[in-house]
Amino acid sequence: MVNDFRLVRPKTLPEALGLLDEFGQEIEPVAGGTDLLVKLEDGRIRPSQVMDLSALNELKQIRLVGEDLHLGALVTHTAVLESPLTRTEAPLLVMGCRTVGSTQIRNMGTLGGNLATASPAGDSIPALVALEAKVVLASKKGERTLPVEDFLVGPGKTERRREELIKEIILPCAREGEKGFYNKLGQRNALAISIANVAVWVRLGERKNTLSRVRIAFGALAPTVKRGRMVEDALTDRELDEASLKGITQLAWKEVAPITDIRASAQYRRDMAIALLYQSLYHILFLS
Amino acid sequence: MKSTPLRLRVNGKTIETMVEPNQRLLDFLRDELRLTGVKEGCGVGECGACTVIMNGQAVNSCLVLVGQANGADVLTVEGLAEDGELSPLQQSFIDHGAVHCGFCTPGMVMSAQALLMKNPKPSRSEIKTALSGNLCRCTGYQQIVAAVEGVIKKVGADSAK
Repeated sequence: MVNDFRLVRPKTLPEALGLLDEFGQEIEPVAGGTDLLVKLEDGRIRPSQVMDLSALNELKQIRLVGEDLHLGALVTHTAVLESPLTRTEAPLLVMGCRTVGSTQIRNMGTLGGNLATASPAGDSIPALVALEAKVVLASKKGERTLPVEDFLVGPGKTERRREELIKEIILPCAREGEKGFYNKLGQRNALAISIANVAVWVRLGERKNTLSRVRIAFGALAPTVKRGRMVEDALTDRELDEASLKGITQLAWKEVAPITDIRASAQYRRDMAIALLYQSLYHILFLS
Repeated sequence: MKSTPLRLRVNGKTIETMVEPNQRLLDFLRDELRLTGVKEGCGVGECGACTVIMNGQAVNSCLVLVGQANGADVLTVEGLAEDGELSPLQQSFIDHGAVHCGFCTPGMVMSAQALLMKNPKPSRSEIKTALSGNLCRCTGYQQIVAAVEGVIKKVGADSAK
């Protein structure tokens, strides 16, 4: 049993935003509940009101809008895996979502929830950052849009204000000549919090074994998911072979700022950042 | 305080009652409805012993507030047998020796059931993925996967007759 709270269950987004406007300081929104229920049960949070968002069907849509894919905040990881739209338009996000928790967790957990929880190890987030996804925040007063990378401030900390809800996530559709790879290291294949992970997105160059654009996002390797801009620049517009790839990916060591915790030491995490990045790029360049 | 009205279907029966909003679906099923086939293992969504099917999807009932199940269709292991006969999946668990201490079994069965409802002919790797959120500490995984494969073959053979 968890602490006493009032449970509210708005039916529409305006209703939910109205409640947040009025009670924002004391209300805890819950989407899939896979993180929040654990925090409620062990008393880490004791809200006086919990707002269940699961009836807001308008936030469960996956839509193609021009050249962009719009994913409602309540789209579950399973919905990302099963939607024909995400499979063709956002394969990197599909790869990331496949590594989240377990089937049960993926069935309940949502993209918006994974972002709002802002765990440095959230498995969908590196894919979103590598895709330069944007997050739309709604409040009673209006909407604002931020890059996902800027939305994340620290472990469990985001730019979301108490009166705001994540409405949707927008990412550019995959185009010809683009590739992605998501690589996660956990202690086992399922239900493992990432020790380290990396999402890589590239646009292939005209010459063989070159990349004209590269975006790299590291997870569980810093207080927030972090872009690897130094490595990105070093990889762009140059001919790559195994040896040069080995050399350049060593730069990942300088991009990350991991901690030592029960899952792994900081040194091990740095080594794995390099290894996961090397494997990902090797796969993109030479195996696919 | 039982302050929140709740209406949902559990194992095909409509239930209307008042509940405490801070109750988990797990506690509601076990304590109020006495559906004790739903087990509590870890209480944090890592073991899968409390797995039930909600609106066609396997979920950890320890991570659902009962209020979130308002209007939902919930299936527990108690809802699988028909007219006192075990379902083909349940029978297959017995036939394959897939039950050791039994504590993980209802959750395993419900995860397998959810898979078969979505995908009647899953591959071995799809079965393993579907069951990867369920832990068995007696380590009987081989028999459990074999039980799911067995029921696919059996149901396939029966319908071909």
